[in-house]
Amino acid sequence: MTTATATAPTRTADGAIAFTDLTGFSEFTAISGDEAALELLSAQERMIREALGRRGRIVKNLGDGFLLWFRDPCAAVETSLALQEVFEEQSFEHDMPLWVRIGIHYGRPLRHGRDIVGHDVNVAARIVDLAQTGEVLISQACIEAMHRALPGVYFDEVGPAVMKGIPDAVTLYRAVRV
Amino acid sequence: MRVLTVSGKVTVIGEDRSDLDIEPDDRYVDTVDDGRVVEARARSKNLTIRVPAGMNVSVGTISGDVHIEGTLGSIKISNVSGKIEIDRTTSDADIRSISGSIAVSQCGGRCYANTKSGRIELGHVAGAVNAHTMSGGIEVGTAGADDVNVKTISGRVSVYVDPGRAPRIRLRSISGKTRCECMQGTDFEIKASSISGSIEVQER
Repeated sequence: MTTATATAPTRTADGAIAFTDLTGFSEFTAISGDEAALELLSAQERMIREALGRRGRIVKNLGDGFLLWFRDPCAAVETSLALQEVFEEQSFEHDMPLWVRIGIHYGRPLRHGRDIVGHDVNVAARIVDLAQTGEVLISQACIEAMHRALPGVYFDEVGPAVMKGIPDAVTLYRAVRV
Repeated sequence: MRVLTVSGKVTVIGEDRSDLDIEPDDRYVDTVDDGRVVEARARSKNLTIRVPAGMNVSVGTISGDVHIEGTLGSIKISNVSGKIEIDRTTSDADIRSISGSIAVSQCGGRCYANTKSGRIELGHVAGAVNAHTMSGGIEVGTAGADDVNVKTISGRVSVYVDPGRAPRIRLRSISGKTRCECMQGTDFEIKASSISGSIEVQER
């Protein structure tokens, strides 16, 4: 008898886990057509890659969103805020609805090839569900993991969230530039 | 006051009293954050909590309706589904839902309201407004003292401005109509965007 083998995740990837979600993409595609939709997705990906540089990496493309990973939680917040500013500017100036929500959590996901998996990834996915378009919503764990102050950034508590499949309530904060 | 539940309706009543009253009796109550916050937890029961008027309240639940009566201070609410209804707050409100509707009669500070597939109704907001929904309509009454930012994918947007205030208007809808019937100026900014919904701004 042979035993099925699988690639076992063996190492953790301590860091900030960020989900982005482009809202209204289906409606935009229906109204503006496939070419415009593809252009929107390409613009989003280009802006994300430019903002990331070497500070983080795209773990995977989720269709109209991305899963990102940063070793440094401060870099995750700074990059996300910079991204939202670019998205906002492009949205209004170029009639391109880059209405993106970003949710960030810090934890110890397991590496699974190029992917990351685990409870902390699930928490980050739940956080982005509660974020507004244009907003960077982060968990208390992410704030606690920051090793330095972020000049000009303020964290506004938005309260506890009880999330499906997550045993403990997660206190969330909105990251705001002041 | 912090309330955490999984399901069941949560009712918080701000009234002229100095103590807290929490029903039913078989719920978990504790003080947290160095005694600064009273935390009530219940798994799947309806909770009714009476608090002193003006108290700050936060509620986190998965599938329960949340109903806030009377006058409270700052309010922070998140749920996955279920209606969220707020009577009056003298301070800021931050309300987030995934598939529930949001209704606030009067907000004395800034108001953030966000839902994925519900309607948002903000009767009168004294401060800045940020209201976003995907498939529901948005109706906002603003005092015109601070900026209003509204986004919806497919719902209709209506913004009502207090008389005498003249906003700078930035309206954008890809396939819906936009209309402004109020005096324009530089008192504050109204920025409203939609993909397929119509947008109208008018004096109250």
